[in-house]
Amino acid sequence: MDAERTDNSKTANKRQDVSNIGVSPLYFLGKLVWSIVRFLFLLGMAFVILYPIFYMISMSLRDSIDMYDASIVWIPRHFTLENFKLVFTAMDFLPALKNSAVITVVCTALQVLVCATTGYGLARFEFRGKKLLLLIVIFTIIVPPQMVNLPNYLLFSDFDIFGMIHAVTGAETTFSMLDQFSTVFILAALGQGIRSGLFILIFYQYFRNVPKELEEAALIDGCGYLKTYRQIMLPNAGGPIITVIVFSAVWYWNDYYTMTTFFTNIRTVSVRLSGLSNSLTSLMGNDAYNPYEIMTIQQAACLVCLVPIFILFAVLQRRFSRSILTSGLVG
Amino acid sequence: MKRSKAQRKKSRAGFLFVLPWLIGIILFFLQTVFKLIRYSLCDLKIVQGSGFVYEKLGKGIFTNFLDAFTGDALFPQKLMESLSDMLYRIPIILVFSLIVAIILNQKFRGRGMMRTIFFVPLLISSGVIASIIKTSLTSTVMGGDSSNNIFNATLLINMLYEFGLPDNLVNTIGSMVSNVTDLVWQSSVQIIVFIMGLMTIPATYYEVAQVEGSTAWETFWYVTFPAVFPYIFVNLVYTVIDHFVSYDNGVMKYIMDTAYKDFKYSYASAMMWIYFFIIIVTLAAAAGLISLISPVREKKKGDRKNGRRKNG
Repeated sequence: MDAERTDNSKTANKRQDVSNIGVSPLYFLGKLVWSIVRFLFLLGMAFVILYPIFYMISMSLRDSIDMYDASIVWIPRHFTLENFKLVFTAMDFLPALKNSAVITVVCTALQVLVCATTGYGLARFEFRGKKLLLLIVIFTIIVPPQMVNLPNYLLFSDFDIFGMIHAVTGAETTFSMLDQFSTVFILAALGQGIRSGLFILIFYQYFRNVPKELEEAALIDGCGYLKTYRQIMLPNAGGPIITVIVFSAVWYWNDYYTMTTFFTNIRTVSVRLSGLSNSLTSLMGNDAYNPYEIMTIQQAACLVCLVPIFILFAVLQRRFSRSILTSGLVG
Repeated sequence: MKRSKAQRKKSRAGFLFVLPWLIGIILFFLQTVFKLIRYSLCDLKIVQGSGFVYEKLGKGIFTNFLDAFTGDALFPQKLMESLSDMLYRIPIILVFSLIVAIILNQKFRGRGMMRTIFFVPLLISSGVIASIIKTSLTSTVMGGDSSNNIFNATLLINMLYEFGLPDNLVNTIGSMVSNVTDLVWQSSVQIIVFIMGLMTIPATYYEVAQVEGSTAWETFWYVTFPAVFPYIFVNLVYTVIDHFVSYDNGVMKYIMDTAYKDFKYSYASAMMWIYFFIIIVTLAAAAGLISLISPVREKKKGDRKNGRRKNG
């Protein structure tokens, strides 16, 4: 509220030397021109972005015979849904969907919670070593995940926390944590999931710029730190939370490298998708191998993989617009 | 005395907020980092029966690092290419995504749909789908030329030729279109982050600015920019790592091939550390440049008048 006053007085200072053009016809003309320019710009962008999607739809709905006909560009002549049927059997789709859904939902939830808490702790409190921790956050973002895969694999293939488990239980050998959902869950819960560092940074920047007044009022009223965070700061952080949910869900859904590092038996949708052409070849046999047919089926598979996460975004997008109201409360 | 006790309590609370993440860092991240340092300082070999064996390097522990610059012709060259590419890419992506975010934050019919459309590149470009589409588009009748872009302008260029435009003009337009396309596909994360930043501005700010008759330019610098500024750093970090760490990056590809195809994991770790150091320096330099345009200094002028500032 105070910040608002600042802006009020600032614009008030400006008023003397700025001519008021708010009502002139030129203003409306400018607005009209701008909305036309904006419309054309967005139209162009939409075309560029949706081009591959249209391509996928067009490819996935055609029989592979159409691929030999150069006159067919967009609209298939031999319309078929056979490709989608093949996708479901070749990808073993439903179990893969279940795996992907479990990993995406649980990891995203854990990541949002941990990253928001860490970001809040770093943004709103002063303690020794905080600068170092911020530097480590940046480090974790930059270290290439591809390089970390091998050490992480070794770590989880004979899992033991500094020999502690060995000391407590007296078990002779360490145990393997590979091929268990809990491996990725543990990583996400301790802020080491896919691009957790970036999410911590987003929350850090958000919480650092929220006015102090609200928090102070809550603390004076006798709210503890945790309660203030849970009941006041977190509910108002709708914007960053939804942003992080979207990123985290997409990246877990699409992830191929982490999943193939830790899992061999648990196959997610994206792992199945990357192995699709191989499994199709073995399904159809070498004699029937037809690159064009595989291509059409692959496009159908891409579409099928996109749909669930796309629906998620379309739903969240509405909340994205609505959270203006909630963040307005804070600002 | 009382105050310092309260402060101590507060700093302890802050530490507790960070604790879960810190445990993760100690358990996983630091272990990994130490392992990577150890790999880079020796020669890691896979011996059948006993797994991984560390062998001492012949010419001192920094042999791998020296080799990267003296014994390897490809690495420094790829490094320079990647860096110079980055130099013009960062500002263009940041400015472009800010403009798109501002447009998508305006009120117009179909805004929700447009936001959903701009989400598509994020969905497609981060996964297996991207590589499938690329190979497929370049090998079918629709593609034609073998560019690296997901979308290519062949269709448009052919259309323009048929309209009878001169060759030079068509080529310029064609390259412009494919550059813009590249931009769109690389900046969807940045756009979403900026939209998030823009949404933290209460609508009343803009109303006040309009009532007071400030120009669009002033509204941008005094209302929009300060709110978005903290997220420029987020986007900078993301742009840098997205470019440097992506699988298309020449250096990264080279490092990964050395590690997983030639099985020279130690040498790859050493190259990774050099690369890592260069990324840090680039990032620090870029962050320094951005802090030059920080609205904080302008706010400080306002401070004297108003007694407080809004954004840090």
